[in-house]
Amino acid sequence: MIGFWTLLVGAVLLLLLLLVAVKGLLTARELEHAAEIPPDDEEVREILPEEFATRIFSRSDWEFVSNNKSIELNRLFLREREAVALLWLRQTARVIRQVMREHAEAARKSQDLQVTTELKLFIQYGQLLLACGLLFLAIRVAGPVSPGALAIYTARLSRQLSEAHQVLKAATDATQVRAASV
Amino acid sequence: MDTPAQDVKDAYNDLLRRSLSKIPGDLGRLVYLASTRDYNTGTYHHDGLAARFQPGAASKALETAHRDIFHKLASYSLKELVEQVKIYLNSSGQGREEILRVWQKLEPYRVAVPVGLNPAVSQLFTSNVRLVLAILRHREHVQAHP
Repeated sequence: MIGFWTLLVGAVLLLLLLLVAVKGLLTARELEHAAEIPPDDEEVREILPEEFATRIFSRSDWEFVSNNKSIELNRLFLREREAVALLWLRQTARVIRQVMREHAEAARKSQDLQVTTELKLFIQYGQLLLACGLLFLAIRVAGPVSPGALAIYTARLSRQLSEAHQVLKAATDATQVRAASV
Repeated sequence: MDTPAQDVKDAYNDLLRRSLSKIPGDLGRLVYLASTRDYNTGTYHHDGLAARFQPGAASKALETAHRDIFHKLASYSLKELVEQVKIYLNSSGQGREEILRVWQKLEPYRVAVPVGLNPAVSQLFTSNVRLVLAILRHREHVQAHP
């Protein structure tokens, strides 16, 4: 009997996790489409350093504002920071997808594709999409202060993904140059 | 023709030493640097710097300094930014209340954003200045009506 209930709880948890994952993927897609960023803007291709995520989701800023004991100031802070947080998130989601698109293109041309590395990148990409989706929900539900740790994790993982792609791209380009010169 | 990096670096150091170090506070420096930019063309010009260096190097140095100071201000905490705005208000020689009121209404600091900047960084800065102005006005109101 205990086995049945454990199995049932496990199945429900797994289902919930899958739902959250799907929601994360869908939200990340929506975020990209909703990004009001010019498509030809080179600057938007950069992933912002973690300190900006720390600043946007800063608890100390919230404490500084709330020390003034003004409901209007508190409301203004939450409204302003939510807008900045969502813009940062949309931008991050868009850059991640751009990086993966570029990576998929480079991988198609690659002659010595490393399956393990590609799998690691793909898992990292999935984690990022999920984190973006969760972060979006967290910002909308709990405000821009609570999900600080998740935002910093997302910023860090985005940078790692982007750097891994740059390294692989450089290696692929070097191989292509060598092959062409032979 | 590309401007040699060393010329830009020399012009940048000269700008820091002769002009920017004499301006109190980073916000004052930002306003000053933004004022050297032509609103129509987006290019930077400073007579003194252009007289000592190649026009290209002088312009690039101003642009770099503008972006650097902007990034610095955008990464300040609200507490630090409040201090910067206070320094600016104290050094402006104009009515403190009047500046706060006009800045809140017209948001002239938006013009101080460098071109081609990451939109999230730019929005973080303008949003933080809006918050700081609201905080300072709230504090002045509380002081006037305890």
